[in-house]
Amino acid sequence: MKRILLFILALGFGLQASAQLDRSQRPKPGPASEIRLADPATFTLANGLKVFVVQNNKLPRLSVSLVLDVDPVMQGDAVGYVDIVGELIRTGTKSKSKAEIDAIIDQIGASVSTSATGLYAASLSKHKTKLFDILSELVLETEFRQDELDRIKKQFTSNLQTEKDDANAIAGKVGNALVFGKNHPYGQITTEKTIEKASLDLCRKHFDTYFKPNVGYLALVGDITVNEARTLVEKAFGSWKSAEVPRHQYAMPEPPAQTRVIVVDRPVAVQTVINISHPVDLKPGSDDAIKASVMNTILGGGDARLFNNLRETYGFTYGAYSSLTKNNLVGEFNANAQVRSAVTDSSIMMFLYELNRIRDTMANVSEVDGILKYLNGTFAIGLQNPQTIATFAIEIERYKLSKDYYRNYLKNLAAITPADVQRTAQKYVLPANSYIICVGNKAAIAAGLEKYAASGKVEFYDMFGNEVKEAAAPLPAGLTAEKVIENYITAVGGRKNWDKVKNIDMTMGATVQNMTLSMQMKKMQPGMLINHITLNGAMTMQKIVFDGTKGKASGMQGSENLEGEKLEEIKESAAMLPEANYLDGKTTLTLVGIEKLNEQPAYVLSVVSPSGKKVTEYYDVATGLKVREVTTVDGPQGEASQISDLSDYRSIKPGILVPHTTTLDMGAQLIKLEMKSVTVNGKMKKTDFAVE
Amino acid sequence: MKKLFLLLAIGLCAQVVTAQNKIEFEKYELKNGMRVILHEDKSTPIVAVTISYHVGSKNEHPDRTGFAHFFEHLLFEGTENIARGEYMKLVKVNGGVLNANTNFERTFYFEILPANQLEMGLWMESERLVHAKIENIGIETQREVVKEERRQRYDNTPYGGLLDETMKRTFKVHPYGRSIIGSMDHLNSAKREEFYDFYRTFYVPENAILSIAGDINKNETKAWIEKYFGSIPRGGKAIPRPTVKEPVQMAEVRDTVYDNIQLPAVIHSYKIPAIGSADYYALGMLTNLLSQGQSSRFQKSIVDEQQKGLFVGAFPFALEDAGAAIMFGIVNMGVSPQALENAMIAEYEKVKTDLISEAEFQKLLNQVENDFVDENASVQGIAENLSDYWMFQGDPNLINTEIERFRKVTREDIQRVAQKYLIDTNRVAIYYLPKSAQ
Repeated sequence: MKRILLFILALGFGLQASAQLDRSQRPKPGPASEIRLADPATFTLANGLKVFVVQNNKLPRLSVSLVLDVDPVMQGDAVGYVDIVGELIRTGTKSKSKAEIDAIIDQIGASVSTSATGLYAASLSKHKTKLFDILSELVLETEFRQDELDRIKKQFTSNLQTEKDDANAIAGKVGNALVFGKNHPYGQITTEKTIEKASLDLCRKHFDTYFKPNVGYLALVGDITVNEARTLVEKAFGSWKSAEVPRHQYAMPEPPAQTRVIVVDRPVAVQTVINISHPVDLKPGSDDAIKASVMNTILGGGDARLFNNLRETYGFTYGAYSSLTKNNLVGEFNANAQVRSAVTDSSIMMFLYELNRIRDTMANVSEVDGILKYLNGTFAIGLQNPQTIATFAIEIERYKLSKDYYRNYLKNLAAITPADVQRTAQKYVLPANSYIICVGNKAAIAAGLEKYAASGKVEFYDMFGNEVKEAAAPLPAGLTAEKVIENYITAVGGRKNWDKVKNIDMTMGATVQNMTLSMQMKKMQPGMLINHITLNGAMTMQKIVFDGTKGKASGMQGSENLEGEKLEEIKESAAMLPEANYLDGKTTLTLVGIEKLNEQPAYVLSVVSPSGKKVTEYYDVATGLKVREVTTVDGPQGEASQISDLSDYRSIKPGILVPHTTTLDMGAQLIKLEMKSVTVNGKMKKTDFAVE
Repeated sequence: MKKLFLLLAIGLCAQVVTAQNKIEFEKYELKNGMRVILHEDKSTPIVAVTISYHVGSKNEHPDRTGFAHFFEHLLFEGTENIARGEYMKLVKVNGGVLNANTNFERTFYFEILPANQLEMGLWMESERLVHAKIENIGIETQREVVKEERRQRYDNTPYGGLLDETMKRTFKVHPYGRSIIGSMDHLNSAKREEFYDFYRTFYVPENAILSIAGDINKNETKAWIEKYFGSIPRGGKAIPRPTVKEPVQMAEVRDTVYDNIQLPAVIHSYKIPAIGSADYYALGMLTNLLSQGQSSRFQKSIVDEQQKGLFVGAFPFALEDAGAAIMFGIVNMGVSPQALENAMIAEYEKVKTDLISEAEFQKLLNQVENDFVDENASVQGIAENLSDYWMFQGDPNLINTEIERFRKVTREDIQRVAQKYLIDTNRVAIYYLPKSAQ
């Protein structure tokens, strides 16, 4: 008995030891810690400088940041001088050269950076007295020198030079000029010319007017007590003189009335930088601020909807994101990605799909809930950096937020609903009022993007935000639309040869998403037609038969007799050479101009046929051949342009030219139809075209 | 997401030294050989869960450059118990962030989570180690993503190809000469069974360090680690590591590369010893002397006074098997690359001939001390540094003691290493020129 017991015990033990961990069981979280926000100590100097102290002794270091609440200014023909002021501040004082200042800062292993609206400095706390000495001297004993200005201007000019090959920098500049406009301070563009105009006087005057303690917020964070801070700050900045700082107001930039497509050409680009943006009126601390941030996080914050679509589903990009900036003057919505040139069009389509989806469909509760948890978690992660506490305190003062704004943040966050998300999306994400800015290889990307522009036209800009008018070659004197058509008829073999064509049988094929698409087109004099589209060699997608008077279309949705406009359209295309009929007097032809297609100039003709069908056609200037047709069709997303590019014209007996490649641009994808066979005057009977 | 380690930062990380506050940690090894480090810091209710695998681009087959990094992308795809596309989401909806990076030597994964989600993070990392699911759909998608990453960071970015071009000429035998992101051809060729083979070889407990820092309870954490990782068997196979030694360079290598840039750049790459070697610390101080801070030699003389450079920097890459000190400058407008190069060489010569002053030497020590404190300001920084010190130098406590090695460096050492390594025959010199100049 005892042995059996032992045996069972041993067995039990053995079983227990080999019991497998069930890895499908997901661990449950423990109780969440409460997140507490400490208030920084704060005091104000007699000159109005507001000081915040966040004591945190975890590391023996100290950071000092000064933020000046100053409105941006219009810089006229010297754009860039305000940035130069920022650089100049740390390059000279009444008694020290730049080299001497640098030596002092580096000697204590510190870092100091300055801008026209503040400064940031950090060092080990044991060097704090020396750090404040030099900061005080930079701010109170400032001296701008001509040789330093000249050096900085040279650096800025060289930097502008390097930006010419930086697609993101270009997209940023052009975007600012468009989104905010060149009459808004955020839309000003720095060029070599404007840098040249930046003078010592301008810089000095700006510094003397705006760099004042009464508009300043100074934060000290780290290994320092409030008393130490008070002594240091008083000594360093107590004698800094206050003065009235001018305020400036600017009209709120409006989003474009309709979406525009802008291409900046960068012929060497292998990727396109896509930015879809528009201005928004969204101020820090406003009722919508947190809700709109949640909405943007769902759309494009990190691995969100845009990322999952463009990267994880389609592999178009390394990352697709959106941002929504809050600003008292004007904020901005921006959706962006860098994609390989070939998928520029498809990527824009997916961007617009997601931008519309978050507006049109309410997100489900679990998606919103997940994002709220994420934002809750990242809020805690942000608190690891003691600087965050100082930033909160400054924002509360600067944007006049309630004292409890950040303490209530998590509570307010938790209350956000899917309806809030949809409402803020409708207000702050405007796919129909955006600038779609593409910096890339124009020759590879521009064709096809016009469908995203309300105007139906792509606009071309240079890297400084100026529109580039295509040097449209003037139309030759005396040229008419009719002559373009005559030239075309001659180019494809002439009427005489086409008259010899009694019937023609063409089969074209394409591969679409691993399926084989086949299109057979048969025509027979006088004006009969069959167009048969099959999938994978078997399934009929569409078949149109026209016997010269009656027509019928059949397909997967059944069949219908063609009538009215549709019948007229088929009748027109049943002609052996439909373009020859353009000259029958019933067709309205207009010669619109010359445009370049793939770098080759082409005449643009607007054609309105008797059926009312409108087509824009492009005829190559050099060869006379038709190279493109653009038709407008009604699609599920509204009106859309469909582009067919014709190429690879080959000569066929009895001396006619037929395009062997037709590329259809369907927006999300290109379908390249290639000629498989052409037979002229083969066996064909009138009864083949019988319509039952 | 999943960034390739920004290489310019490696050298700086490696220079971590210590200041006043000692970083306490506990280290131990599981029965299966997995190494564990725990650092407790309750100041914020968050925890960093990190796992570092000792495999990087240097372990790749020469016909499969980019493989280790490509594989890193695949380990976000899903596991037996985490559906495809769920891995990233799971961290997010639990209030955390995650990422990973791959360099020449190792692949590093991390999650930063609310402290109460630590067990979730451990479970997820254990799933990644034992249960990764590598499916064709994920491979094909990530293949495109990685190719876009290459285009974005290397091909469509000014000076983006510079480091690859430099390493290629510096290491002709050792795999450090091969690109981490990989070539388009190789990325196109990587196959599913190769990924599984790679996984079984390198993603084994004895090749990993689990480093956790933050608001943790050590006993509870250890129990969870045992639960999720303790039962994972050893891989047992020998883990292949490159054994080739880069031969000593006998003559200067000089070359020109053309790229889509506007302003020419000059690169000097000098071979230096591996991480942790005696001369490495002096070399670190030497590169700081040349380019850290605005009073540094390059900045003061070449950028500010002579105005020949828009930027000039010096970066020590101390890697596990060997290293390189890479100097890189972009000319100011209208300056020839020769003029910039001569100015850089003049600075090396000054260090070789004149012993640096006591004041300048003290500055270097102060900078080193400051950098250390900054490096260990976050729990994720501490977790990563502890892990790297253990993996590459065998001792995580170097996070506290490495500064002593810097303090032992003398002014004469700095001069000596300049004389020893910054010589013509040990140099790869590259002019990186605009394509328009071709």
